Amino acid sequence: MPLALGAQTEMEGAACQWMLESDTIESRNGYFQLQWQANTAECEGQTLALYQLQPGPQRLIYKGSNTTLFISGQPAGQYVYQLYSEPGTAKQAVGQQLTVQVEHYPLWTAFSYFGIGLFVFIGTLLLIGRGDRTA
Amino acid sequence: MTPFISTETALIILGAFSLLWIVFGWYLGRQNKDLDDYMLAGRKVGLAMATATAMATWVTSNTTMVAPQFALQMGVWGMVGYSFGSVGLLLFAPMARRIRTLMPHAWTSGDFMRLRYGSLAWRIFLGISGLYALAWLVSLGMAGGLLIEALSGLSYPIGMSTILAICVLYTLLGGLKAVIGTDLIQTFVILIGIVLLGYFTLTHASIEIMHEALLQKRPELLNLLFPAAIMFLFNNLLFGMGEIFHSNVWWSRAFAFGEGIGFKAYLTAGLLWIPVPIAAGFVALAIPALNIYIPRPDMAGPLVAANIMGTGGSIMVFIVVFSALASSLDSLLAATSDLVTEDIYHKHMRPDASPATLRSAAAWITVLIGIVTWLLCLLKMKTLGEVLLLSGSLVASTIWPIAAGLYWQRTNSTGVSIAMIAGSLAGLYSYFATGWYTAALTGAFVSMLIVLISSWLWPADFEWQRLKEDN
Repeated sequence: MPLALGAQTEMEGAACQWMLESDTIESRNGYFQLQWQANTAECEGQTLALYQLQPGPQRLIYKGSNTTLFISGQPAGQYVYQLYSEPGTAKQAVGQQLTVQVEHYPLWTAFSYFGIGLFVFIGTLLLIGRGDRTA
Repeated sequence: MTPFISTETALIILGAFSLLWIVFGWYLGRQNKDLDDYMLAGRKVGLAMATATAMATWVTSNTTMVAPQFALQMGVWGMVGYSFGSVGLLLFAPMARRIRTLMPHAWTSGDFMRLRYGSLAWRIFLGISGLYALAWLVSLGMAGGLLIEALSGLSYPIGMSTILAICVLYTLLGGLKAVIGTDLIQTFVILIGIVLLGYFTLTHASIEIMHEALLQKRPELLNLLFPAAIMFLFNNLLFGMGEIFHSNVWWSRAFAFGEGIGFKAYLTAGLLWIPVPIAAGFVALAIPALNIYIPRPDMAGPLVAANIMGTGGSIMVFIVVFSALASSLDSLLAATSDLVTEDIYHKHMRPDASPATLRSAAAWITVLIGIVTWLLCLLKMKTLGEVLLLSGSLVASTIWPIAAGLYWQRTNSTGVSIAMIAGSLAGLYSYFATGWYTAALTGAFVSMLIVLISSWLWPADFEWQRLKEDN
């Protein structure tokens, strides 16, 4: 659900408002999808840059005219993203920041499911193996 | 997203391969005489064809597109976990032998459930199987349309309609013989494509470079203690096992393979299949090293191919995915048509229907299933892809009712009926409460416990001879 109204960029005379589709995302598996959109169809195709502001030093994640980005393999932590338009050499922030909170499942939860899966698998293996031998 | 190949090229490829499948399907099916020939390829499929069809059907668009997706989402365990899908094929090998021995003249997996457990369990099973088949058919049709659109710019309705129409047509013309014959060619096309993509990926980014980039940009993908991936491992194994154990796609082949063929065919196909998801999936781990833009995880494989091999790579992916989709769609169409013809039309509506009437009904039902799938695909409901994942809990809940029913006389009808319903519900709860990577696992676990307890407390004394009663 779009929550944040973005700043305006100029596109052939039309005022473009860009917004990220959410301002917070929570992920339990280290992957998430970022999406942003313009207020009018005329603004589509405009080049924007997506930066990761946190953690660590600011770095460019994506630059182009697409409006969706899939990110995966992130360790636990708080990630902050910001869209920028780059008319000329100046960098202008667009919309408000997006915060992604990555918090992985505890290992005991993961290994509990692993153990249950192993139990079902071995049980099925025994059922078929012994059944096949006696059949 | 800008298309990677021109619409004209896409149309030429679609036209050429469509013609190939249709002509080949007609050629293979031209000597079909009776219902046995049409539905079960005369029950005498040889080892080479049997192995190829088992492998091709399991190398679906899921393998070519979802293996890279899982590698990108779950990392190293994503690829390995996906290759655990082969366990379903390996374990079905002895089951296929048992099925052929116990029910040499049966038609469908539904026949087994009806004769083994009676009406209630049979109807619950038909509901699960029907939902799964429809979800898989629609997800295949939608995947085809979306991928063709992304790669070539050809509109979604045209791409989706073409692939569905072609599969319906050659399945209609040749029955299971056409499905199995085209599967053989499609297997080679798919495997060559996967090997080529892997080779070219390694020429663009060595293992060391891929490793370095992953550590910097997506480190969890290399983490062997990545919690969600650890949860995913056995979930995928049990999902695959549930799909194979219950689906008429695999049962109809067990009936169609010649005597003594099923065990060797499923075992060989399972062993050969193990490296396929790893080969198909590892290319996604090159994404950080090659700085490839990924809008959606299911586009990982095609986008890697397009980026490193240009137009040639896109054409290759187009052909490989078209073949993979066709190899699964045709099998599912034929098997679902058999299930509906035998278990619903014949057993529920026309018990006295002659073989000729059933042969004709099977053809009409294939067309009808094609039309229903096409209409649902046309709606382009985003959630239908999720329905397939949701069905993991349903199909996994059939693992123990089927396996125990094949080997234990004491398994009882009420127990398996409760096991399928409770397992499905528990799996669905887990899907929403925890994540898609726990649904099948939970469903299989709950179902297994109920089958074990009910067989122990209220043992039945089933006579195997009853499985041969009305066939």
